[in-house]
Amino acid sequence: MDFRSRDHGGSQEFSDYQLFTPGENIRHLDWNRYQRDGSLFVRQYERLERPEVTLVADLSRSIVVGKKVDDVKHFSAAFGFCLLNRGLTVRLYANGRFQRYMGWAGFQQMNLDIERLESGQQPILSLQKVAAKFSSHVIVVSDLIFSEGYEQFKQNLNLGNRSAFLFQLSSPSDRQPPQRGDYRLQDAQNNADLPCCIDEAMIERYRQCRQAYYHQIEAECLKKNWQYREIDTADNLKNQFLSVAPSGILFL
Amino acid sequence: MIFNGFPIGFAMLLTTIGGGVIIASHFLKIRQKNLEVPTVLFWRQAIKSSRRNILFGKLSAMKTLLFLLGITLLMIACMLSPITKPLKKTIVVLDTSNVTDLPQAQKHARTLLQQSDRGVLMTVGDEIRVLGSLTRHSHAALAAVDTVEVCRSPYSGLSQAVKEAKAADPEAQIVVLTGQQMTPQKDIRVITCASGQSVLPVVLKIYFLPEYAEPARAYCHADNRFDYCSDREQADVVLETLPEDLMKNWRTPRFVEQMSQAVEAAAGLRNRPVALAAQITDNIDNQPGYALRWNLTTGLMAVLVCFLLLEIRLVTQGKLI
Repeated sequence: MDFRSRDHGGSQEFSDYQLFTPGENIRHLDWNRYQRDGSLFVRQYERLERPEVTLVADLSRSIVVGKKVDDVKHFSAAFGFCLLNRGLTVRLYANGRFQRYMGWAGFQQMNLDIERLESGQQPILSLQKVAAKFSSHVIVVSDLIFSEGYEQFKQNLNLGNRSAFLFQLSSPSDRQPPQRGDYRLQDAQNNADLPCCIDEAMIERYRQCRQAYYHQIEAECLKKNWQYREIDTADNLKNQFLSVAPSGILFL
Repeated sequence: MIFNGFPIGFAMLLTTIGGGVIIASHFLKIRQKNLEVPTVLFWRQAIKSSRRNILFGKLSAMKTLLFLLGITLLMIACMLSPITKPLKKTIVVLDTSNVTDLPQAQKHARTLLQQSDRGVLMTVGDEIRVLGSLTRHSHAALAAVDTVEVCRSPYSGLSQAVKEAKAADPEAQIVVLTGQQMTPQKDIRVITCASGQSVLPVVLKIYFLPEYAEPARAYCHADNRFDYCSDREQADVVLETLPEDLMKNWRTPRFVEQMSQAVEAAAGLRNRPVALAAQITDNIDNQPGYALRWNLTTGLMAVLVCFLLLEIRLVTQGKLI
């Protein structure tokens, strides 16, 4: 992951030459080159800055109903720790609000804030209106469930050309619901209800539909050059982190 | 246990109550419970993809109900209507006197009882014994065949045994195993197993009081089944009194007949207080096929109760079939 700023400015490390135009600071003129070939060039330097990563913790109703609130918090805190440990700035976005954290003190504060986060306040994860405020690198910890399906995913997670890492949490009960019999299913996100007779055949079809949905999301991520990873909440945290380490996001 | 079948009104009431309980428990079982899920998106798609199988899907949800109702109806039908195929019932009348070749007769008896569903063995010797019953399986009668022994009494009540067997169950097949010559009778099969002995060698010693000595000697001379015995201790039968009129008329032709009755009564060969027909049928309703019907009904009832208990257990545990 490259955290070099795309802006050129107050620098410490030489970056490139640029033709001198009137009005530019003459202190950056390369006099040696002028002496060699008589052309006026300005030296440019990379501006070293403390890079920032936006960490999105999805605590919408689907996460609450799926009993994955603790998993989202644990993963967000763990990612936050890794980023802060590398000297990066973390901008946490949860429940429609931003919080910025830096350094060791920031890590402690972030842990406290994450612990206090209330869940289920937002019906669905939507980054449409706030995406403009996101930094160039975004980590999303979510179940990536959108009641309207794939189109709503594309609409709500419109992150432009930012580099993104999507971590999709899935629990065993998501993959294989344990209920059997006649149920009136209620959607946590839009309160729609659906009568359904759950039996083994229905579960099998449910699994196929669910798999097809996440395959679509994975394909979309591939197209946008985003990283996508499914996280099994039944597995332990350490194993999950080791599994995502090769992606480079953890800087291990 | 006595079972005479239910009256139709009671059966209808039982069907209504039983069927009602089963249907009510089914609807209780399949009542829709609310379940909040992260999204109904996948479920909606799954239902849409299974539309073509909806009829079979519905039927599969009702399979337990249909099964229970089927068992109930079958049970009621069993209780109401008789089984069309009657049981094969055999009454084997075995003459155990020494004119019969007993091993051969026993062999025949075994074969006959093994081939029948319900079998009774009647042994006719010094008395008539009933072994087994028409309301139970032939095993008891079959086991009793080996215990039969040759009797030492000269008495043979074969005709009386056949008469009792006919009275007990007119539908049962009666087979007589004997060494004697029997007059052919309708619905009775006679298998002759002759031992080769033409006379009954056993003679009972009978003691009379001294005042009856003269007529007693005359009688024993006429009836070769009995021998006059003057020693009371050595006698098989003791006869202390004789009717007064018999003593007066002992020289008349009817004397032997009357004396025979008196002696046979004293020897215990006549007027036995037995209810053979009742022993054969065991005092239970002998409607054809009733035992099988009862067994089937109790079996179905047991299956029904087991399934209902299982249903209740699953419903209380929150699991469903």
